[in-house]
Amino acid sequence: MDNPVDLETRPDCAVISLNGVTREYVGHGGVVRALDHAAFTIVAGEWVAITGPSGSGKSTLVNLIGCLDHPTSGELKIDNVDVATMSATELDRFRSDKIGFIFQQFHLIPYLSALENVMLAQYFHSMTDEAEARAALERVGLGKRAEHLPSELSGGEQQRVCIARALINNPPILLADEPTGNLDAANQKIVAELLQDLHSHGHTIVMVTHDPEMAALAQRKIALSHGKVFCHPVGGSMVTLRR
Amino acid sequence: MLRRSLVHRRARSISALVAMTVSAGVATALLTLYADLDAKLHKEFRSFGANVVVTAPPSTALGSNTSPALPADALAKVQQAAGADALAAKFGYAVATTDRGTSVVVAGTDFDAVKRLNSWWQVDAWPPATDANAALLGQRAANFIADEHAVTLNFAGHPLTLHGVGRLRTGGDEDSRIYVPMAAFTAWTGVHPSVIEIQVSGGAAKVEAAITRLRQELPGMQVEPVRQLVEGESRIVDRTHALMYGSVLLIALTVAVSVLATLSASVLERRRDFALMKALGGTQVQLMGMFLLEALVLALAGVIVGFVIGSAAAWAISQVNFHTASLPRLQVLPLVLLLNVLIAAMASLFPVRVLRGLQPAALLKGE
Amino acid sequence: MFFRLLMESFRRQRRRKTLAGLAILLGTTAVTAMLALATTIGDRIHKELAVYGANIVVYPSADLLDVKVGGVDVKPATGGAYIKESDLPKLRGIFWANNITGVSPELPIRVLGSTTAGTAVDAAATGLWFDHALTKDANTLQTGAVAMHPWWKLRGAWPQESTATATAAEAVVGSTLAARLGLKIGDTINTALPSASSPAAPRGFALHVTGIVSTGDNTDGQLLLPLNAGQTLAGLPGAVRRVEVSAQTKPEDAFARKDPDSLPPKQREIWYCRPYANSIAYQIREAIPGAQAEQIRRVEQSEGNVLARISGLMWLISAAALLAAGFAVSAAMATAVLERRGEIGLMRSLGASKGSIAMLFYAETGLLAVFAGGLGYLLGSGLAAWLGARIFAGDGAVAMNTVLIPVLFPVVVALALVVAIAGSTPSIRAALKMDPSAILRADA
Repeated sequence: MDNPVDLETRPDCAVISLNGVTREYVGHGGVVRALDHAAFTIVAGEWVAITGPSGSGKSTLVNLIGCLDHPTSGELKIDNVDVATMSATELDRFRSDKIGFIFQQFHLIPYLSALENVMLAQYFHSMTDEAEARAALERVGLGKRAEHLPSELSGGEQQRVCIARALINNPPILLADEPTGNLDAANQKIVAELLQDLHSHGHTIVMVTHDPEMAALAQRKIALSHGKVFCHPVGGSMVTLRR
Repeated sequence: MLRRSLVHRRARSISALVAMTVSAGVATALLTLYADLDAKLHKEFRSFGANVVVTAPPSTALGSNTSPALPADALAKVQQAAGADALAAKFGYAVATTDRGTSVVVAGTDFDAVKRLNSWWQVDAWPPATDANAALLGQRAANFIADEHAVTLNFAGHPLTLHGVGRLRTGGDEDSRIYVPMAAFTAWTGVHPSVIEIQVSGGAAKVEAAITRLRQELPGMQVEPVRQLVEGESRIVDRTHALMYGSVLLIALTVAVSVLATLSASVLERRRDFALMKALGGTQVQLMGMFLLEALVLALAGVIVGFVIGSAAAWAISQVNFHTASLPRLQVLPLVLLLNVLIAAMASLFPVRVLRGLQPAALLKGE
Repeated sequence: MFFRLLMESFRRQRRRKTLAGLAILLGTTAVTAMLALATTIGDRIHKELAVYGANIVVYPSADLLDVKVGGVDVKPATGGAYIKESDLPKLRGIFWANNITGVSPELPIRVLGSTTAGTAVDAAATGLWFDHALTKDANTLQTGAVAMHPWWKLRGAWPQESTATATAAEAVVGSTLAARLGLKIGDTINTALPSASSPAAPRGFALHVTGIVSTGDNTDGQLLLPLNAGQTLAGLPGAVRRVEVSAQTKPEDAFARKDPDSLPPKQREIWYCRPYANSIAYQIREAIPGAQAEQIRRVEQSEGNVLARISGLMWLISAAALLAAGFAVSAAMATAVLERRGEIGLMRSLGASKGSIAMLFYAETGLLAVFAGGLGYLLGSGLAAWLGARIFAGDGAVAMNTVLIPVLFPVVVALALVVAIAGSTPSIRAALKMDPSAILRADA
C-alpha cells in the first residue's frame, strides 16, 4: 500500500510530460498556488482522467497542458517539445496542430452555423474543407443539423459540435474539461461513446471530470488535491506518491 | 455595496463615468455659449456705428448753408435717455470755401466721442484733445487742399487756419469733409451742433425703447432709427441664434445616444449579477433601484467634472472667436444635471426591463 | 472563409451591430451637417448682410468734391465727371466677377416742374436701375437699387425702365416729399426737358407716380426714376455719377491693407487673387476707365467683422461636433468589441493568430464605418440643407446640386473609418492580450 510506484511508465513514448510544474496567481489575498510541483507523464494513446474536488487545480492543469497558459516554474513538454521555448506565434500553431479542446461551456460562435463553427477550426489551422467538416458532423451524429445556429441546438448537440470541431484537424491529443458536466444522461451516453470511439482510434485523451462514471471509462486516474498531484492506475489500488 | 460594485468593474465604471463626463461637458459648453450668444453678437454689430440719429426738424427752405441747431443740453439728455452703455457724438456742419475757391463741408465734432462711435473710420492720426486747431481731412477733400499743414478756410468772410493732423478714409460722405474740434468750429462759424448720432446697444426691442425715451426727453426733435442697421441686426442675430439652436440639438442628440448606448451595454453585461440577485430573492424594484442608484452616482460625478470642463471649453471658444470671455454660468447646471440624470435613468432602466423577461436560471447556467 | 465570417457577422448579429452603427450614423450626420453649414455660412451671411447695402462705391476719379450734409446736396456740383453706363458690363470681366452680387448706378438730378394740381415741384431726384440686367448674357446678374436697398418699403409698384420714352417715364416718390406735395399714386409731375436741340424736339417730360417709398433716410425727400429717364432729363445720355457695388468679400486682414503696387510680383498675385474688398475695388478700377473704387468702410469693415465672428463660431462648433461624434463612435466601438471577448478567446484557442483576429474585427469595423458613414453623409447633407432653408428662409430655393457637397463625402467617411478603428483598437488589443484561458474561464 505504501510502496512508492515509479511515475515514469514508458518514458520514450511520452507525449505529455510535466516536471515540477507550478502555477501561481497573484491575487488580492496574496499568492495562490493553483498547481504545486506537478510531475507526471502521459503516454501516447492513453485515456487519462483528472479528478479532484473543485478548487484542486484541475482546470489550471488542463489549461497548462493545452498551452493556453504558462507555468510559473517547471518544465512542460508536449511531444518532446518544451513549450516554454516556443514564441507566441509558434505556440498558436503548435496548439492548433496538436491539441483539440472540448470545454464544459459550449464555446461556439453564436452567429455561425454548426458547419461554419467546425470550418472555423479548419480555417485557423490550414484550409477550409466543407466536405470534411460535414463528415465530422456526421461522425458525431449531427449531419442533419449542419446549418443550424447554436441557439437552435440543444446542449448536447452543441457539445457534439464542439467535439466535431475539436477533431477536425485530427489532433493527437484531446483535452476535455468536464465534457459532460452540462449534459443530461442521454447526451452523456452519446458523448461517452464518442470518446470511446476516438480512444480506439488512437487519440490521447486527457479528461477532467468529477463524474465517477466518466472517470471509470479512462485507463488511468490522476487525482488532484489542493494543487498537488496523486497518480494511480485504473482498477488498481490507490498508490500515494512519495513526497 | 454600491462602492464595491463600482470599483469591482473598474473599467466599466470608468468608461461609464467618461461617457457621463463627456455628455455633461458638451452640454455645458454648448448651453453656456448659446446663452451668451445674443450679447456677443450684438456687441459685434456695434462696429456698424450709430443706429439712432437725432436731428432738429429740417427747415423747408433748401439751399441754406447750415442746418437748424439742437438745444444746448441735447447731448446730456441723450446720454441719460439712451443709457449708460450708449455712445453718442454730436456734429455741426457748415459749408466753407478753400483757398482755391472750392466749396467744402466742414464738420465740428468731439473727436474722442467719434473715435469710440465710428470704429470703421480709417484715420492716420487722431487730433489730440489739446490741439484746438487740429483738423482731420477727408481723403477726397485733401486733394483740394494746397497745403495740408496750413489749411485755410473761409466761412462767410471769416477765415480760419488749421493744420491737418491726418487723413480720414471711409469710402462714404466723410471723405469729402474736413473735421475740426467743436469748440473751434462754433467759435469760427457760430453754428451749433445739429446732429447727434447715437449707438444704442442691444436688439430691436432695446433700440425701440431707447428711441421712445429719447422722444420723451427731446420733444419736437426728430429721433429716427437707422432702419437698415436695426432691422438687419435683428435678422442676423435671430438667424444665427436659430442656427446655433439647431446645432446644439444635433450635437446633444448624438452625444446622448452614444452615452445611452455605452451605459446600457454596460448594464446588459451585468445580466448574470442581475439573475443571481433575482434568484436570491431580490425583487424587480429593488434591482432596478440598485442599478438606478449606481447610474445616478456616475451621472452626478460626470456632471461635476463635465461642468468644469465644459465651462472651460466655452470660455476658450468664446475667447478665441469673440475675443471676450464667456463666463461660466451656474444657471446652466440644473439643465445639464437634468439631462445627464435622464440619460442615466433611461440607460439603466431600459435594459433592466429587457432583462426582466429573462429567466434567472438560464442566465446562471450560462446561456 | 474570411468573407463568410464577415458576412455572417453582419447578417446574423444585426442587433449588436445596430448600436455601433447607430453611433457612427449619428456621428457622421452631425459632423456632415455642421461642416456643410459652416462652409456655406459665408454665402448666407453675406446675403443677410446685403441688408446693410453696398460695400464698394465707384465714382469718377476726376470728380469734384461732394458737398453733402445729411446726404442732401447742399451745393449740388454742376458739371463734373461721369462714368459711362456702357462701361458697367465690364464688371463681369474682372477676376472676381462672380463675387459681385449687386450693382446699382445712380445719377442725381434736379426736377423742376409742377403737379397736375398745380403745386410747384423743386426736388432732388435720382436716376436708378430698378431691375436691370447687367449684361446681355443669358444668366446675367439681374440687379438694381431695389435689390441693394432691401430696407426700402414700397407702396405701389417700382418704375418700369422699359416704359420710359423720350417724353415720359414712371417714377416713385419718397414718403416725405409725397406728403409735402400731396402726391398720390397715379399722379403726374410735368417737367421740362433741357434746351432742345431743334425746335421740333419735344419740350415737356411727364413723370407718372407709380409708388410711394419709405426709406428711413433723406431719400424720402426725393424722386426716384429710371436711369435712362434721368439721363434724358439731365441731358446726359449714358452718364452715371456713382455706382454702388455689393460684393462677397474676404474679411480684411493685415495683408489686405497693403498697397499691391508695392508688393513683389508673387505677393501681388496672391493679393490680387484673394477677394478682399480692396482687391475687388482695385480690379474695378482697372476695368472701368476713369473710375475710382473704394470700399465703403462702414459696411465692409463691420460686415467682415460679423462674418468672421459667425463663421468662426460655426467652425468651432463643428470642431466640437467632431469631438463629440468622435467620442460617441469610439465608445460604441469599444463597447461592441468588449462584448465579443468570448469570441476572441475562442478563436485564439482554435489557433487563430492575433493578427488574423484583429483583421477580422477591423474589417467588420471598416465595413460598418463606410456604410453607416455614407448614410450619415446623406442624412447630414439633407439636414444641413433643411436647416439652412428653414433658418434663412426667403433667400430663394436651394438647387439640388448644392445640397450635397462632394468633397465632404470622402472626408467624412475617412473620419468615420479612422475614429471607428481607433475606438475599437484598445478593446481589441486588450482582448488579444488576455490569455484565452482567462477569457474562456471568465465566461464559464
